[in-house]
Amino acid sequence: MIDKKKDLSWVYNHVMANRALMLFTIIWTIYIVFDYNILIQRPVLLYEPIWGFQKLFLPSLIPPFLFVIIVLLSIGLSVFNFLSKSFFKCFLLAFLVMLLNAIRWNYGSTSHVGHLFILTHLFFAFTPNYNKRNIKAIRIDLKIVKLSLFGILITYSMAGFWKFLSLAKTVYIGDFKSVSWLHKDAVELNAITNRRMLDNEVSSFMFSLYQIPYIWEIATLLVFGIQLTAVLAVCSRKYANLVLVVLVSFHLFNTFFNDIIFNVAPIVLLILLFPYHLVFKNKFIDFKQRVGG
Amino acid sequence: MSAFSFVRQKYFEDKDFYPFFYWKLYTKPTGCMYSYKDYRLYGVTEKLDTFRINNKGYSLFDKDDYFYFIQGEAQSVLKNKRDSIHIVNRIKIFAKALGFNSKEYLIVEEEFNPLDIVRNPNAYKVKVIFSAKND
Repeated sequence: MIDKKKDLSWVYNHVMANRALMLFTIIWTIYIVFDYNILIQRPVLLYEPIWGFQKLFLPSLIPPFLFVIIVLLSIGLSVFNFLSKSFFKCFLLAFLVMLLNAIRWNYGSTSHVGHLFILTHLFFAFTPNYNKRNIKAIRIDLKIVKLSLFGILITYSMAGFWKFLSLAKTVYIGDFKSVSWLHKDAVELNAITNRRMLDNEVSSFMFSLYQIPYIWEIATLLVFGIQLTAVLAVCSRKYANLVLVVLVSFHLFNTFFNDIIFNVAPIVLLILLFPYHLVFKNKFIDFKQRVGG
Repeated sequence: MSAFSFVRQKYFEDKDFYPFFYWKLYTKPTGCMYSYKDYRLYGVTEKLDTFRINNKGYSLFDKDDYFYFIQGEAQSVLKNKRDSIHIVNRIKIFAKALGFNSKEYLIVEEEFNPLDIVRNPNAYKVKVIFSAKND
């Protein structure tokens, strides 16, 4: 009986996450309209596609009429997927979101923004529409919900894995010429160089905080440990809460103190791992009764 | 900041497939060798003085855009990847879009020790890697 309740909380949270994702996609698309308004004023010669799909679908800056069609289609698909999702609608939306996000990537380099968002759209396309299902189908499909979450979070785990591999290599080959993440200077070197890329300086207050011994090494290990084990969030709701808090804090710390600006990723993590079943308790009970019969 | 572009240039140079994510980001802190190279656009005045075009955020190119763009052009220059006339044109048009109007622009490599520069913002070595001239 308890297992069944737990199972349903995953399904309920996924249904809510899908709706939150679609709402956020509408807001995000409106932001892209403002962004396009800037890009269209840039000199044409600076536009150069990088990835294959850009060369194929975005060989030059999208003309305004086509852009408007894609934007309206994205907003329309978000609304329809909010009401009742289907594989085709979600997959098409994932593709359009990838295109809209990549308009910005045609000026020299790919940025770090938007990858998690696109991946979430892609993985959510494969999960069923629970509005039309009964409890029997849901118990079978629980695996798909967890698998989609797993697919998204494994990107964090792999990034964490390479950080630990790098640490292991440092120790194994005794390469102490370059600073590893557990060196006492690691956080300040990283902060100073990253902030300087945008011609910003590390404040003397933050610099003095970076000098506090052991705190940063412990925090680094904690964050990397959570990053490595992010996929385990699909096994336990409590662990999912911890992963959510630590990864969002990690992104916000990088945004504010390292100038590695993440606007979209923390919101996507919140959408994915927010404990909807605890916050909207009554609606969750309704949902259980509805699907449970 | 630079992580993704750097990675792309280093590992995906001739590959066209967008991988959706990259997993070897920040395996070491940036500046881990106590030395770091950054690229900036410089302008040359009529009197042949140079001035640094700071990455202060412009209406068409915010701080990220400036950094990514100059980093990308600098990598093309260093790897001799593209026709230099093409880069000259791109650099001049870019500088104009930022609101500058010089006859010559330089891509300059700034090398610094992070622990020195945090105390003295001018403690960096410069090396001109590319010149974009009007002729």
